[in-house]
Amino acid sequence: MNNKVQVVVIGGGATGTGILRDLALRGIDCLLVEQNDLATGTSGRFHGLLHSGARYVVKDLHSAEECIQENKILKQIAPDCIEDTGGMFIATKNDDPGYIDKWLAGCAQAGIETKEISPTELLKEEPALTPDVVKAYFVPDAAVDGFTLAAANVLSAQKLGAMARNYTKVIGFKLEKNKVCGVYLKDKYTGKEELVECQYVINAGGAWAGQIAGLAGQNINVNPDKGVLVIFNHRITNRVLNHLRPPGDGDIFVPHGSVTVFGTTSKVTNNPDDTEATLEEVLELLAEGSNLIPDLKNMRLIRAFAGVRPLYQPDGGQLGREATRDFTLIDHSQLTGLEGLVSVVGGKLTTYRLMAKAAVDFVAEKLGVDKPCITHQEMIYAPVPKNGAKPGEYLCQCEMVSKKMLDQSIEGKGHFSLSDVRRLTRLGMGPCQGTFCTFRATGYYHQSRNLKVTEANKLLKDHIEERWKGSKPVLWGQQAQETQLTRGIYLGLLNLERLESDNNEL
Amino acid sequence: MNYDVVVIGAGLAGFSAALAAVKEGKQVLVIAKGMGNLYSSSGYIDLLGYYPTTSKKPVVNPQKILDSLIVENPNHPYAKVGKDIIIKAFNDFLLVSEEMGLPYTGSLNANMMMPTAAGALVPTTLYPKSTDKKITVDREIVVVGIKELVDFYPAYVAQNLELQLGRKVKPLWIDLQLNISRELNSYDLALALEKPQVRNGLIDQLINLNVRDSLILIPAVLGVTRWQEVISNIEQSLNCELLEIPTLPPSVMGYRLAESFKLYLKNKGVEFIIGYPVAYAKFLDGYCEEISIYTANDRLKKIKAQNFCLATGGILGEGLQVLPREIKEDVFGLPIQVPREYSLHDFFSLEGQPLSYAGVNVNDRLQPFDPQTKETLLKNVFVAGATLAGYDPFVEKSGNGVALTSGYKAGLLAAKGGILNE
Repeated sequence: MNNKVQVVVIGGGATGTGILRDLALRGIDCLLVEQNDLATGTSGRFHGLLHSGARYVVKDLHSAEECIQENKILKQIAPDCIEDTGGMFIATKNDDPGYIDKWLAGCAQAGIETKEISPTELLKEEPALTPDVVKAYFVPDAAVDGFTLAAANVLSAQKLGAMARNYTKVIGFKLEKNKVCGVYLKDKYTGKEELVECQYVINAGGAWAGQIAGLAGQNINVNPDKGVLVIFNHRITNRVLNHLRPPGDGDIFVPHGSVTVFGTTSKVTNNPDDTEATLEEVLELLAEGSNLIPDLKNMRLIRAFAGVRPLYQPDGGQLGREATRDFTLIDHSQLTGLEGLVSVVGGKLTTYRLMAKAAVDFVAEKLGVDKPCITHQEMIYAPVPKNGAKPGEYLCQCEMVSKKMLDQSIEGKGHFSLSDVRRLTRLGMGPCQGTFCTFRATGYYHQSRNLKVTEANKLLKDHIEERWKGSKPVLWGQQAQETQLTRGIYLGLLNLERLESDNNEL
Repeated sequence: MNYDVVVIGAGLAGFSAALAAVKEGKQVLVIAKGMGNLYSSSGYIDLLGYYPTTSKKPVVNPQKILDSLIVENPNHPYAKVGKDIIIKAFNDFLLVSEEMGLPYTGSLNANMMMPTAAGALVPTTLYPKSTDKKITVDREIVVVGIKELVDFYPAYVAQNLELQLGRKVKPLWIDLQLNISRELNSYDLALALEKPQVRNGLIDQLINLNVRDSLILIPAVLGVTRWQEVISNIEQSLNCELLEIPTLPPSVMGYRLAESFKLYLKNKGVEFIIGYPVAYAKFLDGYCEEISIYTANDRLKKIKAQNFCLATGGILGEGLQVLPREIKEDVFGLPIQVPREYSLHDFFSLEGQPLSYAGVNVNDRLQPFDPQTKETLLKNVFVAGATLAGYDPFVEKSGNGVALTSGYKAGLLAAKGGILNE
């Protein structure tokens, strides 16, 4: 590859990929590097809510205003990534009625449209809700697919000549005379290390931004904040559901495809890789959520996971829920005199495009590029669109993933895992959690990609282990039963656990 | 309603219990809330595939290794059943399988290695006679996939087999051109292949592919009830041997065993009520007096029996309900020791998972007892199959073996009021 670019972007989440696209649209030669796959950090580990901003109107009006602005733009430019479910805020008889007025005033001020619906009417449309609803409002929330969004940004940038490399970790910076002039990279698959020279580096590492800046001797105060989420095997409501009260734990439900994501919690962690949910955390969430969905504890959980919010506090200020959701651009030359590096921290997925714009405006000026940002005008498209395949061509019936989609999801990729495929297609994200489609996708790829059978076995086992990891904190009820079925198939029936090692005596 | 023996559960353990009891001349009812796990099983009766579970080498002689298992694992269901009854149950099943028209074969002294749908080899003890074909045969080995079936990939099977057999295995696809506008599963295809014109299409394609005289490995889709006709028709046409490989659920080989066994029991006079969970049970002085079910019109129907067999299929069969920090036995509310962690290991770990080991603790009469006080809880209830504590069937490959043998003993004990005169 070309070992010299104008700008290196670190981080393949929504922000980093948004930056890559913005740079490319302004004609700046750029490369994105991501240590894992796209959107495997916080952009793929959140509730998938495209905020209307209504959640923030009382505490953080500025964030709310940004949210509604971006909400409208993203619905225009990224329809492949968004399911425009609409959202609702409900207050129950146990909630503070005084808050509702403050909230309504905030929505009006931020320009967020609200529409009241009577509890009786709402319960007809959303029968899973608690009958204790006293007030309910519709807002323009939506469900957003962070995986598809990141991939769509990259696809758009690549068409303009930008480059993106996943599974590539930054292991150091090349510094000359107090200026960053390159990054040292390591390929996760091959172990190969190389230097890419550049004029500017944008650190969009999210919760990992502190670690990355540390490689250049920079100290930035990113406070990883862990949020636990769970997934139910069906759509509990058809709209995004919010609890109309000051933001807290367990008050957001987002329908996605055939499932519902429910969260979250907020707990400061010192490790951005702390993404495992515990049983206690899950039980606390369920107890809270039962206030909105009375039957919640009897519904089937299929998975629990955690994401890490990259909250930033310049002066070591508030943590957790009290911390601002605003983003900050850190010009390291202002901070320590180091030129050539800018870090973009904080923020949230809904406003990723604004963060990207701010970072690229800054860098473009440094590079003497005067083209304006046009990311709000140009459409982006999913690399693997849901396409109407012929009946008989679907290998995952939970999420309707066809053979063609499996082909598209690995186009041009040397290495891939079924997790990479899953993020682009939703393969294995549905109610069976990969029990049937993992086997099918393995058999399919083994032949169509001419894989060695040992590679195919690894593809299968890695994916089953990955799905297993997420179901471990919710191993009860029907999920315990489903897990035994999966074990019955992969261990009992197929005897895959001993396949690699077995020298069978016949 | 009044019976000598009521069996709760319609999997292999329940059927085996019903068989043992009806052979003792008892009036037997099988009651179950669902179809039973047997329908989705491979149809193989594996006594013990790996011992200890962490062993990577298959057990060569399962009958011999039982002695060590029984001494070293006193809580394993096989230790409660005892070697004599295990052998008797297996041998009786071989005889009965002939009578039910689905003859099985195999020996307790030698496990047979069977190819799986991933191309691994799995040890098993008893298997349908139609699958009595050794993978070590001299003939050319061909793996045939059927385009319409999304659950079988011949090249994947063939290459994994090649690695283990150290010889060439040829993969082939055939397309039945059924033009059905959906993905088909094994059961769909098995029904289709009972039709002569569909079957002839398959035979023609196999002839064109030059696979005469081979050992043909094919997913188990060769007929639901008329499998004998389908298999012999193809074998004769091609002068080949056909070895069916059990598929992901729905499993036709499991279906054949479940249906044949059930019909056999019905003919012996066993009654069945399927689709009704036990609503509650009534106890007196350490005995279960009666159970009841809600019938379709929500009326409570009482069922009395001298003795009961509990064969509800563990977690998979919903005989055990797992809650976050508690496991409930579904019918009698028997105490279950909850493992500290439900899962400890990787999915593919040979240790098994703690959740799988959880179940009802029994004495050697298979009566439930309290693991703390060692007190027998119900004197006329005998527990069998996956609801029992002390084993993980999936890593040691003992699921149907434990079901068959513990079911057999539970049925005998229920028929004889809890006392066996050996």
